[in-house]
Amino acid sequence: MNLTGALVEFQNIEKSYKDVQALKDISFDIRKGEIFGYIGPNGAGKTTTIKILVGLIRNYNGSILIDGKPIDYGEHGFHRILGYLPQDVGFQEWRSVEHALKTFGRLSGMDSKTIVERIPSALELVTLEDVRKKKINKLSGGMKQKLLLAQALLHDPEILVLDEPMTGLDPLSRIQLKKVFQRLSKDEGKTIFFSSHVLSDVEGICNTLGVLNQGKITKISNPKELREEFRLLMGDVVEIVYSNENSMVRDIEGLEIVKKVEVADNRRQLVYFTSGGDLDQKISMMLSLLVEQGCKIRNFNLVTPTLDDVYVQLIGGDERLV
Amino acid sequence: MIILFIVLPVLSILMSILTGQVEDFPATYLTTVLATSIAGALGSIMLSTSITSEMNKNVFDLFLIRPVKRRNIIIAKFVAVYLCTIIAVWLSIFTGMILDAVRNVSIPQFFMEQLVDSILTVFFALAITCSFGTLFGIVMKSVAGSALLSLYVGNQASSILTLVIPLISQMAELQFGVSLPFDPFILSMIIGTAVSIGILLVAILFFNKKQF
Repeated sequence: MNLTGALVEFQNIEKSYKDVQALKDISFDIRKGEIFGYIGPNGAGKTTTIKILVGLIRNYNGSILIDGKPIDYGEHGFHRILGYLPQDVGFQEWRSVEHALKTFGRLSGMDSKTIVERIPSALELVTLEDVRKKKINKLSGGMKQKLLLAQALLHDPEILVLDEPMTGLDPLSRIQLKKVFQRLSKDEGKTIFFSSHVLSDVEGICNTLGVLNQGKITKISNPKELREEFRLLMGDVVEIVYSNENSMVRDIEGLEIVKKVEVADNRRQLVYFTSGGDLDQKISMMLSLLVEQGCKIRNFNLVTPTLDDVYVQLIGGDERLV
Repeated sequence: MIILFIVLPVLSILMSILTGQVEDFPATYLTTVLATSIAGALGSIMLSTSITSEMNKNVFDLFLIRPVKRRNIIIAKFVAVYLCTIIAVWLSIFTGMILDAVRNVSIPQFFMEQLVDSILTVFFALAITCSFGTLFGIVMKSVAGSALLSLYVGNQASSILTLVIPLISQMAELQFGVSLPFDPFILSMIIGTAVSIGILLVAILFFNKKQF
């Protein structure tokens, strides 16, 4: 048993394609039972990291440990406990859903009886039970994506590695799958490592977020800490929505406590406070100024940074909150 | 695969109908010649195109992340197509025999005596073409390219068994009046097996080195 609680440890992983260095000194841990969101823009190196982990890419520098031991891709090694959902993958489409799952089950080392027992529950989990007998070439893109998840879950793996699992899914399916991931992690103790460039997919379900940009890990933290860190970095921000355009006060910037003011649209302002001091006092001072000037305020709220804001900040994009 | 089981026997029936005007000409002759001559092409093309296109579509990703050796995936693919082609050839020949029985055409004794040896030689030649199909399927990125190469190189290589060895054997007898110290069929069997295994090993080596 690994004392750090890490199931997977990436240690100084580097990978180059000809002259392009795709991954630069990647090191991080995935703890047992956690949901690790691996986010980054397209081309950041997420899929390369995942392919290295699952053994599809084997010429790289660095090492990967599983439960404290060097990863083993042999018949009794890592692949026994791995469920993998790849990105941009095809099926042998002449097979039926059930036939394909039976083949994957056999290749995963399951016996026929267990395969027959597990197929209905795996399909039910991804709401595909009605297409069990259907040929794969008759399925929609979203259904194929769900089938990919079903094959990853079929043999009840200890770790799920999912590369952009929400691609091609409708909003309802995305919500359903997020619930499935949470249940698998909480109730069954599965470790889930999944990549995405859509932050709403990882928001609310990840215990840890790893942000990858241009082949480098920019940040590893939990989402709450990331947001708090970002809030401290950006300072406190309040949003004021005025009743009409004429009532907007434009000279708040004169106040000492205000760092800058952004006019988001003709009725909306973002006020950035200077750091330090009591936030409540600062808000009172500003409200007093607004009331003195007789402005009509429809809405007033403290802006909490979203993961999108944090993400944009971390990958070196636009700093603005809106 | 099912196409193989249908195409070859159907072609046999068509050939038989087309030659129906020739009295007492055994359909089994035609079906045997037809099936054995196109089986190699069919087998190698099926293997090369399916492997290349499945690799291009990343189908193998879902197999390679399971606790099976990479070589087993390739061997399974080879064995499946090879065995299906053999079954299709036999089905085709049996179709010809059935047609002859229905038409009451007798098949000459000498033909039946040589049939098994000839067919077995063809099957070893088929193993060579299929192994080239596997190799080019893995190495090439273009489906058309892998099909053409496996067809051309596979057929050229397999002709060692179907043409060169019988020719050497006959020349030795005609020119020098001596028989070869070994049975040509046994020699074909040994060469066919050795070449097929050699090419398959090279294919497996490439597959093991491949990054997906």
